[in-house]
Amino acid sequence: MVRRTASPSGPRSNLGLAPAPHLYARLTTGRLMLITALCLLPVALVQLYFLGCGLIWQFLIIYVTATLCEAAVSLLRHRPLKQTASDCSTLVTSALLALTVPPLLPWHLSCVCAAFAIVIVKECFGGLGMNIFNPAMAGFVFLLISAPGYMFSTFVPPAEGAFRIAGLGATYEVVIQRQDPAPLQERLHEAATQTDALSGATFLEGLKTSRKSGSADSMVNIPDFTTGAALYYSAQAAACAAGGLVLMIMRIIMVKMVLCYFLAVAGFSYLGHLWWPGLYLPELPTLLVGGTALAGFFIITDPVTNAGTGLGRISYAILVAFLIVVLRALGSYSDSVAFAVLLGNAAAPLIDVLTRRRPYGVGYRRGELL
Amino acid sequence: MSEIVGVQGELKTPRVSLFKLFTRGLWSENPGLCQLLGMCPLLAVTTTATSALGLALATALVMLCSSLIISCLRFMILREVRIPIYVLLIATLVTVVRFYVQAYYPDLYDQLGIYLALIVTNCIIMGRAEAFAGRNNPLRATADAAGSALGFGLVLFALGSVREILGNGTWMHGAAQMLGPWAASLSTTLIESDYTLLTAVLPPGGFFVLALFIAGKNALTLRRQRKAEQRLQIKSVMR
Repeated sequence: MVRRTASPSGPRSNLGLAPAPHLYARLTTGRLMLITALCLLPVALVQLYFLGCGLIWQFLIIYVTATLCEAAVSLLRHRPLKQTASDCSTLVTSALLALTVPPLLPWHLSCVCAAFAIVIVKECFGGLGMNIFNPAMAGFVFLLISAPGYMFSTFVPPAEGAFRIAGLGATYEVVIQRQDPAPLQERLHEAATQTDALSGATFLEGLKTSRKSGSADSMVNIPDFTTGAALYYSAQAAACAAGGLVLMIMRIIMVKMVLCYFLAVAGFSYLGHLWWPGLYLPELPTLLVGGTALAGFFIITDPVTNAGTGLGRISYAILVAFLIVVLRALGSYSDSVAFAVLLGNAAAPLIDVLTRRRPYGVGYRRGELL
Repeated sequence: MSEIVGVQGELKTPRVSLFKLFTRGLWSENPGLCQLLGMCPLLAVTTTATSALGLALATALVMLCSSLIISCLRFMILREVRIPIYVLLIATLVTVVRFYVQAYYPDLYDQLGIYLALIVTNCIIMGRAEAFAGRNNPLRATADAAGSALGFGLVLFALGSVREILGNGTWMHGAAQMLGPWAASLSTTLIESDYTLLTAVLPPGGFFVLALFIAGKNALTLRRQRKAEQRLQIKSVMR
């Protein structure tokens, strides 16, 4: 994992050099972020196919807002604009945010959540490499808490070939001109096969309703790969895995951490389903629905906001997995990935302390270290 | 004994003018932005501008009266038991204000809830009584309390306004219940009626907006200092 070592807040250098040590790596922060953003492309394509073109507008709005906010902050902080523009972290944050917000969200809310994610969550804590919380997830949570009505009225049911119905023009009218999204959603509903399987806006929302009556086990026929929703969720998970595999091969993300995360999600949901079948889903649906796969490959692996040591990263992944499974069953919002990631981020400094490496030559006897 | 205390107090703090006492509470030692006292009501009650204004007025009233009375009685209050006596005095005043608000402004009373009674424990009032009113004459104590009360009230009102505008798109909503029928025209809807941004009204929004206020205040205060420092720097070192 590459962390930016030279602190930009240190003494102002007149020679354009960072303090020693001068390590050279071909994988600069900008290149790393660009690769991550490219690896998100398969996920974006799957969402375009199943959810329509709203994603494109969301990404454009969020990216423009985020870039403007970054530029404004770097002007305020007297940082060179070129340096801010050359790391593509804003691109990754905007892409993740655009993939998580509902595709038909009105543009002003997208602007607000992008500005919040960049200005307050990222830059107020010191900018790139210094932020405690994942900006994309914090922006999503901000939106979820701020406008719960909009969040659930602008989701679209996944339908095969939705990009034909919800094309660029149709989504432009809803997102930018802020027309009522209901007619478009209605048409998508008709296009989706077996819409009866989805009683709510999303699968997880429907699940939440049925869970309140303690009958979540009646909805677990999701690995039936014929329905549109199940196909969408498995395609999305596969796209995440494809992008994640590239990142793993390029050694950008830690393989052990991702493996532990998915094993932990599967294990916790298996146990939960074993003991409280009315509350917890079995392991396969838990792995597929919502943002579990996206979180595993792209969100918890964010080098800035997770723990710093290898063991710490694995514990962090297991903690987030546990929180996702438990909050999904007991939380009051339909999906829990963002909340779980934020709680995990808050715990990451503590995990760092608990998994501190033993310096060579000390700590063999009890009580010698610390 | 008490005369010695007075001498000690005057030796510690150089005498400042009445005007400076007043403005000190407004800006350089603002209770909300600098001393960070009274955070509990500051964050809890400022969901709308009206309730913030109500609490600001109630706090200011209690603060002025308590400072005046404490500084009048400062030679009679035994040094060893001064804190209980201050608390007793402040609690009496708060009870009076609370009954008054309950009788005449029941809506505001419901809105403020427990925070009206909790003015007793507001550290600003206690802090002013302990740090200033207990060792200065009534005129100076009143000026100091007025400055602090006004500074705190302005922060409360500004925070309430920003949070209400961001959160609900309205300003001074429900002012008529508190200030009388003439204030109905104050209640304005700035953004379309179905607009909400709940986070601004919820507790995290209070922290965010207050933090931005403090940051803004610090930036303004440090600006002059930094400019003076820059003037002394050697030109070639500066970029």
